[in-house]
This record gives sequence, structure tokens and C-alpha cells, in this order.
Amino acid sequence: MSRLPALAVRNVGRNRRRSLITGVAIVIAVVMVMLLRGFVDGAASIMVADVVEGRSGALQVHKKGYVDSIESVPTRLNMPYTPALVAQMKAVPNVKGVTGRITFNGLVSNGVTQTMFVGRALDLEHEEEACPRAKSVVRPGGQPLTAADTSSALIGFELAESFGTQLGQTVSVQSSSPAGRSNAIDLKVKGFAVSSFPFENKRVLAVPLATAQALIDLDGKVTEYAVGVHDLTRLEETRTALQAALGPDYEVHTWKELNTFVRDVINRQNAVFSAISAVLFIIALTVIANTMLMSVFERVREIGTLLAVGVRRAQVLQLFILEAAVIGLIGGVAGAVLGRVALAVISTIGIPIEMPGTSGKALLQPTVSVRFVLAAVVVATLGALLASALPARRASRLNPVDALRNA
Amino acid sequence: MHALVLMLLAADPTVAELLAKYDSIMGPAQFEAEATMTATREDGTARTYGMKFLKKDQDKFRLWFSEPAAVKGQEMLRNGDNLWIYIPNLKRATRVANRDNFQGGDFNNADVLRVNYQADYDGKLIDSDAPDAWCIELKAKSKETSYDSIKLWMRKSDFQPLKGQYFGTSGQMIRSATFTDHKEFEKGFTRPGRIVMQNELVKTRKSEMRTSRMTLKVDVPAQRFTQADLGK
Repeated sequence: MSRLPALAVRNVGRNRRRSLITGVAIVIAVVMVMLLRGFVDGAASIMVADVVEGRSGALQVHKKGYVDSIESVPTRLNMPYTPALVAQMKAVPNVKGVTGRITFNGLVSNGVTQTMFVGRALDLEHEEEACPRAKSVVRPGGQPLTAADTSSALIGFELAESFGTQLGQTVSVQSSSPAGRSNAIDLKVKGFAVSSFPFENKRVLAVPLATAQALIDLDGKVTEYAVGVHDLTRLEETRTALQAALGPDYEVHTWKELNTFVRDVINRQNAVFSAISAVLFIIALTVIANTMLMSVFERVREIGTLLAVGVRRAQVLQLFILEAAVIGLIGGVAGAVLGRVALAVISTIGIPIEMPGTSGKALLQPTVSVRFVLAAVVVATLGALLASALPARRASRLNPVDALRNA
Repeated sequence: MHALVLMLLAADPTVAELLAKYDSIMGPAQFEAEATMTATREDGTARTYGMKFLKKDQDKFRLWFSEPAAVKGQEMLRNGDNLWIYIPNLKRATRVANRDNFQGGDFNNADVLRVNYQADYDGKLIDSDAPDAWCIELKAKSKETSYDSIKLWMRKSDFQPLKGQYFGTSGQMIRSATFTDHKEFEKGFTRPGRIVMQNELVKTRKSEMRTSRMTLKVDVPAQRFTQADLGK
């Protein structure tokens, strides 16, 4: 028994061609799965980073019931924006930063024509704490918003085109308070914002927080807190802790719940990835099973000899399974190393891509986790083992006399 | 002549009297009326809506639309602070807000379906730029009114409203109205037959409300102002 592994390794070396074919099949499968995973995860992480760091934050806090009626932009469901409440949130472990925002509806007009907009009011001094990449991209000629300049607005470039406005022009922005008071203020168009999210370009007008608070009578209040976290993998526990800290008057949602579009895209990519991996796995298994079977036919006399000198049938079975496992392990490790090298090379170069629904041009840097690499090696070994079961059984069932007579 | 001037001076009304007068002219305690509203949009198109009003008590309104075909059968109801619009295709009443535009025009729902300046605003007489008119500045009593302040011009001779300017919290003028075609709809009851509401933020937009018939002598059953009556 104890000599079997050594014998299996020697056999692998002896039947070089067969081992090579099987091994290469495994290497190709492992490398392809790793590359695929790398691309899928790389693309997903671009999207996640775009959303989490650039727009929604990892978590968001609203007044209870807000998200259920989010379509109607319920400004009456507002919350105090106080240092005490912010400090309470920041005290929750893993919370990196907190910023307050107001989302509101209104009409913007240039005196001749008007159009609806969705207003985003940002606390520009704290926005980066929760969303480090939130900085609006402004078309050349424009300027970003500043907290001090409360009489300016950034308009999505398509929104601006739709009602015809120029940089530096004054527009009237109309909205109403939660209680129903109409109000209007004049704002200077400071810049045209360009976002990767089509909705932002077509509908959104951004203003400093104080401007919106004055316009819709929400002094000292916000409708949304965006919360940034240090470690995105501990999102759920942070959400639970934050909810516990704030109590039942507030609701905490993760970026996944708030950006169902992105979540769905990622889920769909993962489903496609799983399907392709399954196909690759089956192909690799078939190749292994086939070469193992061929190898059994080629080595009939050898098997006969083994049986004739007193090797047990179970030991023959184990020998063939072990050989497959050795090939699987070597192929898996080789594939993993090759895959990692390939990913590292591609990653350092980076692939410029345009993702649907996220920031126009991003550099795709495919990476896979160590855990995934280990899993790939294990799956390759076990897969090879599994594929060899039938050929090995066949080998162990040979009649030694017939086998020895075999030419 | 001299006597007349003296008499007018003697009759210098208080703001409360002027506001009471405005409310009684623009929103009598109960009435039935027919009107059309023509809304001119920024693209130059105009649409005319026909409607019938019914009012009872302080804050009970019913309104039925008769034209154009697209809104025929729509109804509105105010009872106190609650305002509903009934859409016949949906067979359902939806709550709407005071601040929402009345049929997408430049009146808001409160302009049309709530006239109670005495309750909503504090008034102050200010110097008038028109010699034949009183000018009042109204300031909202609560945060629930649709405007923060209003400037109102009323004719000295008969207290008929002539002009209004409506402001948001920022002090910016949002709408302005002119009241013309004053007409005695019923013996002893005169009011403007035409109100033009100009959108001051989008100058190309305005809405015109013309009242064709109005009578105060109506007997209105209370059930007209219940949700159950919508669509009947």
C-alpha cells in the first residue's frame, strides 16, 4: 500500500505521452477558468467600486419607509443632520465616513422653457469620506461645485441640452417643501456633469446641500446618509450594527439593495461564468477519462503481470486512481501557476473597457483570490480522480491469464 | 367730489376687511360655477379644459371636467386638507397635493380649490403704486401654504381683485395673476370673469381661467363631498 503512491508517480513519468495529454487538458481547463473568473470579478469590482465609491456609498441610511416609496422622492421623510448623529454612525465598527444628502424633485427653467429634474444635494465637505470617487466629472469649461458657492448648480449634460442652457447662465430652479410650499431660486450653471450612468446625465441637477436645504425648507436636515466602510466583505455585520445603533426610526440598506441594476448584472455574469466553468469541467473530465481508458488498454500486459505477481485487485484500482490524482494535482498546480502569471501580466497592462452602466472607460484588472486558485487545484485533482474511477475499475477487473496472453 | 373723497377716506378699510372681501368674492361660502381653463405651454401649444365647480362650507370642493376628451370624466374633491383626483379609467381616486399643478397648467391645486386667505395669511396694507387700488402684502401663517407671500391689488371702488403676485420663500416671484372682465354673475355678486396666471419662471407659460356662469343660490347635498360620490 505504502509503495503505491511512489509507483503511481513513476507510472505517470513512464507513460509520458498519456500523462502529457491528460495534464495539458487539466492545465488548459484550470487556466481558462481562472482567466474567466478574473475577468468576471475584475469587471464586477469595477462596477462595485463605481457604485460604492462613486455614488451610493456602501450603506445608506434613510428614515423608516423611505426606500419603499423612493420613486416618489419623499422629502417629508427627512432626518436631522447633526454632528451627534454622524458621530453615532461613525462609532460603529468598520464605518469609514458618513455624508448627508438630499434628493428632491423640481423644475428647472431658463425663462423660456422648463423641464423636470431630480436634484442631488451634496455635503461637499464630507462627500469624499463616504464616497471617495464621488467627484463629479465636469465637461471642460465648467467648474466643480464648492460648499461655499451656494448659488451654483451642476447640470447633467443631456439635461442641459434638453432645455438649452449655457455655461454661466442663470436658471430658475423650482421645488417645494415637504409641507407643500413652492419656492424658486436662481442658480448659475457652473458646469455640465458627465456621468457613466445615463440617468445622471439626463435627469440630475446637483447643488450644494445648503442650497437645497434653503430651497425646500429642510434646514439642518437630509433625506439620505451615505456611509463608507473600510472592509466591504463585512458589509452585512456593519449594516446590522448600524441599524442597532440608530434604532427603529431609521432604515439601513446596502449598496446591493439600492443598486439592483448593478447587483443583477453581477449575478448574471456569475451565472454565465458558472455555466461556462461547468462545460469546461465536463470537457476536461471526458478527456481524462478517455486517456485513462486508453492507458488501461495499452497497459493490459503490465496489469496482468501485476496481478500475476500477487498485487491485489483493490491495489490496482488504487494505483490507477492515484495516477490520475497525481496528474490532476500536477496539472492543477501548473495551471494555477500559469493562470496566475497570465493574470498578473494582463493585470499590470490592464484592459481598457467600457462597461454598461458604469464609468465610461475603466481599466479592467482581472484578479482571482488565492482561495479560488486553491479551489481550482482541488477541483482539478478530484475531477481527475473521479474521471479515472471507471477505467481504473476496468483495469482491476482484468483476468491476469488473459491479460498476460494479450499481445 | 370733496365729499366723495372724504367718504372714501373715512371708509379706509382694515386689512382684515379686505381679506374677508377677497375671500367672499373669490371663494363664496357656497356656489356652483362653470369655467374653462386654457393652459398655454412653453412650446406654444394651448389646451382648453372645461369644468364645473361646486363648493360648500369652508373647504369642501367638487370639480368635474367635461373637456377635452382626454380628461372628460375626471373629478376632483377637496374635503378639508385632503385633495383627491378621480381618474375614470382607473376607477380610483388618488390623493394629490396643493402644490401640484392644476391639469399641468400654471395654477396649482390650491389656487383653484382653496380660497381662504383669511385663514392662511397675515395681511399688511402697503403703499400702492396704483392710485385706484389697495395693495396688501400677505405673509404665510404656516409652512403649509403654497406660497410664502402674496402681493394683492384690490380696486378701491368695489374691492374687486385686480392683480396678484405670488412669491416663494426665497422672495422670488413664481407666478403673477391679473383679474379682469369683472362681471355681475348674479344680482349683488360681482367677481372677475377672467384670471390670467402668468408663470414668472417660464415666461412662455400662462394659464387663463374664464368663468362663464356662477351662482350662489345652490342647494348642495353633503354627500357630494365624500370619496364615495366620486365617479357617480
